Amino acid sequence: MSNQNPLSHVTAIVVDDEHDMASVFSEYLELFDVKVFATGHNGKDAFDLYKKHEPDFVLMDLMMPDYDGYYGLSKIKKFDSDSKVIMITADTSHDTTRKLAELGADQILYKPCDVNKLVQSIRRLCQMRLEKIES
Amino acid sequence: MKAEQLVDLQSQKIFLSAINSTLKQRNSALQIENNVLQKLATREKTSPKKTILMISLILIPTISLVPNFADFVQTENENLTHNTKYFIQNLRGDTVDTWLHWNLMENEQLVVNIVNSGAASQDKISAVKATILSEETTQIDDSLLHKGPQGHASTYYMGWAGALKQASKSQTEFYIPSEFVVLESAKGEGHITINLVLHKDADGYTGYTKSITENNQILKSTITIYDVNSLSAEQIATIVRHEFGHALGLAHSSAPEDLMAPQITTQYPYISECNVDAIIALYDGQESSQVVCEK
Repeated sequence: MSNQNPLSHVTAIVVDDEHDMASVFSEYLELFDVKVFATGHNGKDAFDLYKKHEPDFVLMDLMMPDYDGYYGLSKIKKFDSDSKVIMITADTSHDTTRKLAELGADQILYKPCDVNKLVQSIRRLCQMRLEKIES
Repeated sequence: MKAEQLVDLQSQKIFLSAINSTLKQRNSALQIENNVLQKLATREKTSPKKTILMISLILIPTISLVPNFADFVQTENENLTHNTKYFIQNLRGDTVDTWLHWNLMENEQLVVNIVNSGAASQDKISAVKATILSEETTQIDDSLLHKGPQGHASTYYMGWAGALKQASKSQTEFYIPSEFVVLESAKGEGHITINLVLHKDADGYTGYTKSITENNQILKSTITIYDVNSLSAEQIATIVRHEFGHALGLAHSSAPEDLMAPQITTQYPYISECNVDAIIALYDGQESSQVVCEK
């Protein structure tokens, strides 16, 4: 019987330059029993934390000082092409969306975020990742 | 930059609100669990047979899952026969094939928990929720369900919320639950839990409702829907709608075209006015009785 919370064994890192935002995302994910290994605050943190923890998915803001989300996404995808990265941005322009897609973002969520969409995205991505591992 | 900060604050507000709402729901569910445990504890104190009674609560479902009611739910689009079973377990160890009701406080919400929502796709989960929360109604010509001549229609409810709100308009001895909170939590809290499982039942059942009762009232109901990957969202909705009727305290209908018939063959598996009348009668103290459908 599959009687488990679908996100109960899922792991993540959260990256946002706004510390409060990163904390709120982490708190929310932990409500669904997602294990948040760590939070980072720029694209370099994202890559370092990914290498260290290799989580099931990364939740990352795009606009961050110094090393932005493009940097983090690009480095993570080069390191692990099977990684699952959800990018969050307030920039809805076509150029940004195209660039994120080219770098391999698995999901783009636009601020202000829809909580249900975030959970659905995580479920879908983790299911895909699980299927890939099993195959 | 200020615009970005403003959007961040909006996002934080949304997430904090979601966190708050989820925690409130869980708190409410925990309070319910606590109430049930307190009732059990009170009962233990007052009964000299407490050890035996508690053991029977755990063991009886395992060793004597002989269904009191074996249903065969035939879904509307396929000629699949789905066996479902309905089992009410009394804390005294008896099994009773009677109608029992919830005894909630006025305006208390009935908490329904889909405990393993990840086992089914989003459209199936939405279909399950709709069978509970929908207040949508439809008019179906009586001639289609052999209830009357062509040109006369009856109202059917797509979800139990609508049906129960209609039932609540009648004065009853006991409060009819009509406000629902639907959770998706693996912890099993809530008044009614719905398990959507991937495996087939060894006995071939596709649905199963078990209610724990005491003093002729339901304390908790558990609905299990088996083999959900083989069922369409519509089929799951039909089975859940039927099982939810059991979870609310209804037994079976003798009308073969009714949602609560042991064998569901109708092409219109919705909650009938007769089901609503049965709920009114049940919550007005008419346990173990048969409600005659007006149509």
